[in-house]
Amino acid sequence: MGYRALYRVWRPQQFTDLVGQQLITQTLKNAIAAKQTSHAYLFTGPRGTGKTSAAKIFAKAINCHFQKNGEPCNQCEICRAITEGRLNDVIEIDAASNNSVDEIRDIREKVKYAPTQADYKIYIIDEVHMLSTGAFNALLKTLEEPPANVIFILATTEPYKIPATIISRTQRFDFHRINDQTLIKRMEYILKQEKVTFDPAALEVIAKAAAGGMRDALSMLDQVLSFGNHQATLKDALLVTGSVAQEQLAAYLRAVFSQQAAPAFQQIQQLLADGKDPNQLFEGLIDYCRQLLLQQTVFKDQKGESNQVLISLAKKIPTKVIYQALDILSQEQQAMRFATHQEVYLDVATVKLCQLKSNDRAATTAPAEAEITKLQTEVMTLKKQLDQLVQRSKPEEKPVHEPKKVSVTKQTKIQPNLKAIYTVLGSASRESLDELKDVWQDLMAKLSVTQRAIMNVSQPVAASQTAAVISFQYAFLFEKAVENQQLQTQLVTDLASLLGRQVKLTFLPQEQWPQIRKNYLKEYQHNKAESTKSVTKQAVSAKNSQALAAQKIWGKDAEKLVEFKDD
Amino acid sequence: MGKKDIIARQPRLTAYFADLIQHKKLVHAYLLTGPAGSGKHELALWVAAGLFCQHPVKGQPCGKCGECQRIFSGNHPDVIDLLPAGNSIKVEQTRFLKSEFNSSGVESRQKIIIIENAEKMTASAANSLLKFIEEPSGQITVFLLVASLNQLLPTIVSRCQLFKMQLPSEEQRIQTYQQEGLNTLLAGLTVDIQTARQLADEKTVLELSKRLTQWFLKILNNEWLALVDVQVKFMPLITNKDEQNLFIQLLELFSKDLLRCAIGTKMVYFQDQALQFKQRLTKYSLTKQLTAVELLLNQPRLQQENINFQNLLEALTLQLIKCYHG
Repeated sequence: MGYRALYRVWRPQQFTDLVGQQLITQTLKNAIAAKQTSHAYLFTGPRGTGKTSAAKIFAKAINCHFQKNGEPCNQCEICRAITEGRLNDVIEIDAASNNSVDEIRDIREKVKYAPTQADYKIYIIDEVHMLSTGAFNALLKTLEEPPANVIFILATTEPYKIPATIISRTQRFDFHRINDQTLIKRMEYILKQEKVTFDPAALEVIAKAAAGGMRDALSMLDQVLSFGNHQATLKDALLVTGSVAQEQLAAYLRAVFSQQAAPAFQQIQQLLADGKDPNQLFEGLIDYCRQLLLQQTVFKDQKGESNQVLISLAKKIPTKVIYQALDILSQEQQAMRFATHQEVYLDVATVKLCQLKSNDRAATTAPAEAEITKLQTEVMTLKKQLDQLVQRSKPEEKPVHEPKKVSVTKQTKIQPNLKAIYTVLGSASRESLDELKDVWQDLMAKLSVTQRAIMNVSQPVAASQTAAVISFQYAFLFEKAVENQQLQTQLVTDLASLLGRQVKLTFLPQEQWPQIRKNYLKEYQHNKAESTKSVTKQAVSAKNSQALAAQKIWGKDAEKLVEFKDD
Repeated sequence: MGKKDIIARQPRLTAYFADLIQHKKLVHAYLLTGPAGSGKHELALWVAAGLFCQHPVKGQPCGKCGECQRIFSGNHPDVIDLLPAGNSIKVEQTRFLKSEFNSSGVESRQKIIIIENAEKMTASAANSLLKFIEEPSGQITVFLLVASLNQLLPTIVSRCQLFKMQLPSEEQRIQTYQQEGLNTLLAGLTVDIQTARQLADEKTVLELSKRLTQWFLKILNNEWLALVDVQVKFMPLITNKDEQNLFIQLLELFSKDLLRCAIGTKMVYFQDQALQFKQRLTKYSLTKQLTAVELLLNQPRLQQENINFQNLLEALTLQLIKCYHG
């Protein structure tokens, strides 16, 4: 005989071994002990909860002459014969393959004969939901009043397929899913009996993946053991069940909730490359969000458990965001079911989750911050205007030398207004940009043909509530746009009608945009480091001398750009 | 045949099974899942050969002896292959299996049963297998091969040990396909290079994908001719359910690329027109691009609901135009 699967070796042989169904086993034991058994039972419940095992134990217990409190002795000849499946009076029928009326007629014939060895003749009809309608009806009369000493036990996973007339003639027992703790306890017991070392965390993972089925749990345990050379480790358990480690889930959620799309995508790629199933990833994420919610509401005040990551994450993320995240996750999971390339839905969910936090932050923590930046920018513009006034009063200076080119391409005569751009960047937000992009096509449609010719290659690259930066693909069109006062006025009024508020526009050629953004970020970080100093000073004394030179020399043009917004 | 190949493709699983064979710890039922071409059948045969081989090396078959050769050519009486008869595996076939379950092997006591496309078992066939798979008598090992687990009875799954086939990552696949001179798009459609070559020869896929990109460019340009494209360009090429599924898959891959474009990475499957898409798409906000992607990703579900395919595509066209151009 070859190797036998754990679930076959450890099939329960007495009621006490049948874990997780205390109510049922107790009832059956009492019935047997008091000799008040019914003539027909119906065992229903999901896979791996002990229906067939219960039926076999019942057959033993009722026939065993040495039973104690309803438990079979498992020693006597009859008990052993039943365990080995060679007692003629316990008849196990696979209803799925013997589902026709003829087979039921056969049972009806044979029911009449008395048991040969044991006291009771027991028919265990497994997978009874597969009987045909005719077969069910043929069984009705026999089931209602079988001859003495005959007991029927029907077992099925799908009770809704059984006619009501059958159910009403039987005593029905609903087997429940076995909870994780019970599964773990049973696995621990088996592993100890088998003298195998194990990691408790591994059993937890298996129990969760088994979803209440003991057979599932033991199958997976078997697999874990054979993978890990007779050791149950967490790593193998994760591999076998395909579940995702809590730390990885936490890392992913931390990334998306802090809007870092890149690491989140990386995490997902890694998990998929490891052979994880997108569906299981979704399950894992949803479960982790559930744990976060529980942590926030129920276990808030409990003493710190081992899982510090969960607790810190739960403190950081607002409950509302978790609810929204759950909505997104379950929605994508639903949509995913029909697709072949399921990983796309994970990507979509990731992008959505990343966006989610930004909305929320804007709604909750932003006001104060926004106020500050607004004031700062105001100070900056005032200061700038002052500078310009001073400059204007002086006789105009001609630039002595050309400023160094910012980019390597063709030199542009007009430099973009850096101060204005920085102001916009200071209070720029994703939503404003999205909003602007949404109406940009409509805005283009409102322009005249010649104006559109200039603006066609332009697109907004950054925007705040009150101002926006527009980039031009070609430098000469940028110059044209800067020089065209009429176009600018037109754009501002049209935008005002589309968005319902005044938006100042600043132009720049596309080739300079990456450099400017980089400079800005550098300065921004610099600013942050010395946040006590005034922003204006920072902007002026920025170490980027190029930008400074450009501002000084082209102050006049900059002024021009600012001015048009005032009319 | 295919012996080296399967070790290279499934190093983890072959090593695992070799170990089991060596220590005689094979259980009675295994469930192998993975898309077509992932080597499920080869692995099952490999394990069978390992069991029967006259000169096994650490549980691995030699591939040369008579037993091995008979198994790899499908002529061994104790290795039974069950294929769907027509569209499904029927009860009669499982009845035949049952008799096989009950009798010992022809040449030895060992027996291997391989059920291909097990998800195609009819409900009654699957149910009638339950009792036998749970506790087969004698030395029998059953391999159930399925593409996707969702379509299998949970009661069957819980009786088996479940293994997922290792698949080459997307990048690896794209790389090997490029080396073979195949379109990267095919890497998204199949993991089997043989099938990929076949698809490339048939030309339908490539033609469809070309028309798909043209159609989408029209949508982005706000050209209403895109609507006509459905009738004129797509429908002549999509005549049966398989081609519908293929097109839906193309849409999925396309939306994957669109999403890549939206978050600023490179398009992978539809490289030819990548630049044109990029130029046009940067105009739109992320939310808008995401809505469009979701519209595309909604199509698999609608197709499953048996909506007329042309209607489905026309509605999609209108929705997309509305999404992009308001």
